[in-house]
Amino acid sequence: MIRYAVMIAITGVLGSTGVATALTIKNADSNPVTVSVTQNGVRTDLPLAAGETQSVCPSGCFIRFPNGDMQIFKGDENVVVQGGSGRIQQ
Amino acid sequence: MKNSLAFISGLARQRPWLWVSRCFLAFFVWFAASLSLAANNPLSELERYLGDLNKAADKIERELSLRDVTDTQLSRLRLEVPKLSDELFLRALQFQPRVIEIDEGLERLGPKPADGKTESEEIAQERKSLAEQRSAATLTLKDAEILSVRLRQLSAAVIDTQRRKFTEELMTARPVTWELFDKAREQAREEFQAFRDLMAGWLDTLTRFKSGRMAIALVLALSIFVGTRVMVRRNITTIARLKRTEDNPAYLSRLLAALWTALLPSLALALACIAIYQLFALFGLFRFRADQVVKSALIVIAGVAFVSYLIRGVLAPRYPAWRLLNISDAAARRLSWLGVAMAVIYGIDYFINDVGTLLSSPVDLTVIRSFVTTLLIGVLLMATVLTTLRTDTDGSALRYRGWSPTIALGIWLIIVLMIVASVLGYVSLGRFFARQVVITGSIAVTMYIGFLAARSISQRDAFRGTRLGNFLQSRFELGDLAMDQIALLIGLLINIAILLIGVPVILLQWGFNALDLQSWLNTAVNGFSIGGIRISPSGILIGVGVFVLGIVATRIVQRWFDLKVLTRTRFDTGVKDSIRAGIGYTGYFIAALMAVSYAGLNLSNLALIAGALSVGIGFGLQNIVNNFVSGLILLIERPIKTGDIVTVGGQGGTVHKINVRSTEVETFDRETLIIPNADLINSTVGNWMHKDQTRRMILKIGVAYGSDVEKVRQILLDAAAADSRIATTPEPFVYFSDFGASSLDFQLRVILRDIMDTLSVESDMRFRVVAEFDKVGIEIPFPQQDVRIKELPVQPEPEKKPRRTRRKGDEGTKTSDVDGADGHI
Repeated sequence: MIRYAVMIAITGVLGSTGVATALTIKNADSNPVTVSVTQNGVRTDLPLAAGETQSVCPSGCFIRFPNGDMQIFKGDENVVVQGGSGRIQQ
Repeated sequence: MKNSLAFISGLARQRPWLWVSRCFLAFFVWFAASLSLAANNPLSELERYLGDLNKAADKIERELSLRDVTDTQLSRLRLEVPKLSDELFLRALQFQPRVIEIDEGLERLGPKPADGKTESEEIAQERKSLAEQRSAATLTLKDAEILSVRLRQLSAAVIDTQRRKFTEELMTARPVTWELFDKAREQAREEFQAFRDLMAGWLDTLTRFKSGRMAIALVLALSIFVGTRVMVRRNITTIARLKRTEDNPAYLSRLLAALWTALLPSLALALACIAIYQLFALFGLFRFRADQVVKSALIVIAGVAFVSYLIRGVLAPRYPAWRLLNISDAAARRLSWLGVAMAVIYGIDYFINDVGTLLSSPVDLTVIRSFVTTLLIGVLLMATVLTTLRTDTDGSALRYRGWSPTIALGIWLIIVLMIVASVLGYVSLGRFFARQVVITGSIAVTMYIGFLAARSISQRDAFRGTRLGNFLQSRFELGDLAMDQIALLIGLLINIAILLIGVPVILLQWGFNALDLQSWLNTAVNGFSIGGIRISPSGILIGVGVFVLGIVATRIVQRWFDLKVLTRTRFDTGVKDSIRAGIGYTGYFIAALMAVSYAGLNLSNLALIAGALSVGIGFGLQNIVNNFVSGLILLIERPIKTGDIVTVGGQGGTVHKINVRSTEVETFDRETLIIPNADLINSTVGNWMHKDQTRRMILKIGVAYGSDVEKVRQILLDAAAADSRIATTPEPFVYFSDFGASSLDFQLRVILRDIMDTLSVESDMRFRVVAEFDKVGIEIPFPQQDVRIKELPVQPEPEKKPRRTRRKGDEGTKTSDVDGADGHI
């Protein structure tokens, strides 16, 4: 019985809480923005709709925010884009 | 100014030492501040670093653009560039806190006031300064980002160049013609001449002027060799039992023997080689280039010796019982010769190649050498495959069972390709194939032998025969089944280890980069994302490990509590069981929680699962959860406990075990009833032992009409009093229950001290009562019926005897609804 309980618990946990440590970036503005993400020397533009949250670069990256500011991230931060600039949320 | 001077002089007048110390303090603070400022300006430091890195990148780019960039250079760059890239990122990351600080400062100041509104000069100034710092930071970070992109491109370019050069080299045809042979012969003569000059001069110097030192070095090296050799021999015979007298050694012993015979002598030889080289270097016996020639030769000797030892260990040509592969003596002999020959040819090729590089050997010679080597290896390989595929003359199967036709065909194809490519002039290609076949083949064969070892270990009873198995079994007193499981586990672990070691080695051999492998390993260990979900195998493994550890710890605590604490208390077994189970559940729960968090899973998301599960509980799991909770209630409220005699749903038995979902009750017929806990909570359960062990027992007895009833009562009471298992309070009581059809009915009602004695007391009492009745002549009657016959038939029949019949179960003695409650049925 314990075995079943554990199996059910583990399956459930694995199934739903897989998202562990990736950088999340959220657009808190009311209009869509685009940030530029450079991971391992590969530059990609990441469009974010209003209120959208995306999970990116678990192993760290440079991000350029809409206002032109650039910041470097380890890869486990939660970043919020507001008013064109990005802030790390604790 | 004047005032302040006066103030200072006043101070100085008052307490000069205080003034001096303050001056010192001020200076110190200023000094420390300026120091920390210099050290604390990470921006300029990062900028300097970026400048250096840019120069390094320029240099790499130049190096790449060269036409004659060598393979070694490319391999170095391939390792170097990603390293630079990693370092760049780490250096830039150190800069992150400073930028956050600036951002926070800007945020604290708030947005710029709208037009028309003013703010204090100070704030405006600070905002301006922070904004400047921010843009400077952005600029530097941008530089870093651009550089990271550049490094990435460089890395790709390096790999690209490497690949291009490799294909170019492989695909360049240099037709092997007779002229080429002639030219090569000429060149070979010249090269040999050069080599002889080099070595002869050196050897001449050695023998004529440094012979003493050389002799010492050689003697020392020789003594090292002999010493290790002797030690190794002694160890070989003891460790691997290599007397090889056993007729049918276990596979594991065979494998160990092969490994030891290969490793230990090779080790002795390698030590001796290293000793020679180091001693020569130490004594100053080398001269320019001679050291490289000697080094190359020593490497070849040690390598060839190792391969030969390994082949002879694996094939054991003279000891069929110790052979690792299932082939005949003749095949083993032939294969080992072929293998050694291949190793020797490779060794010679390696040595000549090294010397050739040293003497900058001409291309033609290299081509011819590669051609000859490839052809020789090809022929030897063909012979090898033929040996393993053919049937022996003496009828014993030489064919190795492991060969599947596909593999054999593949090997043939490669051999043919190799030879054809060489003949057509694609010597590099042929050489490449030869190298792959031999090296990858050896790795594959080694892995295969490892797999065989794993299989033989996991075979039934194989592990118990080994030394480790014996040790484990005697140390931990393991049963056969446990040993079998351990053997399976060990086999599995060996397989995994072989794959983990062998596959990367083969991939490296095929030109994959160590860095690629490392990054794959990183991905495999640290996790990868699929969609938004991140899966981390190492995390999961750690989680599982933590869970197992948690369970083991729980067991230990349980056992400790059981042995040290519970035995000293006066709790009954039921309470002890409850406590034990409670500790177990708590431990399991904590272990599961810890495992989940160690697996890197977010505990806050558990709420989500709880929500999802509650729906599941509502539908499917309702029953199980109901039973689980009922089990907890059983443990806490304890309406029944282990060892109780209970009646559930018309069946009686002893409670054997209370589990999470169900309770095991063993009936007196030794049938185990598995009763869901919810049933025990929701329905009526009779428990004979809830409060105490006593029970009431009724012994029914009938005596004939006309008996002395007082005497009957006395006899019954005396019989009860004579039995110590019957309680004296409440005292036994005789109940005159009925004037029955053929008897006066009595009931002896007694309280038993222990319910377990029910059957034996009942039986003993009957024996006693019957004996006493017999003594005083009280009769226990049969049911009697008088039969009257109304009319006689015309012809008289033989007279019937009046018959006494007995209705079953009506009279006589009868007791107890709990039968068999006695321990000894």
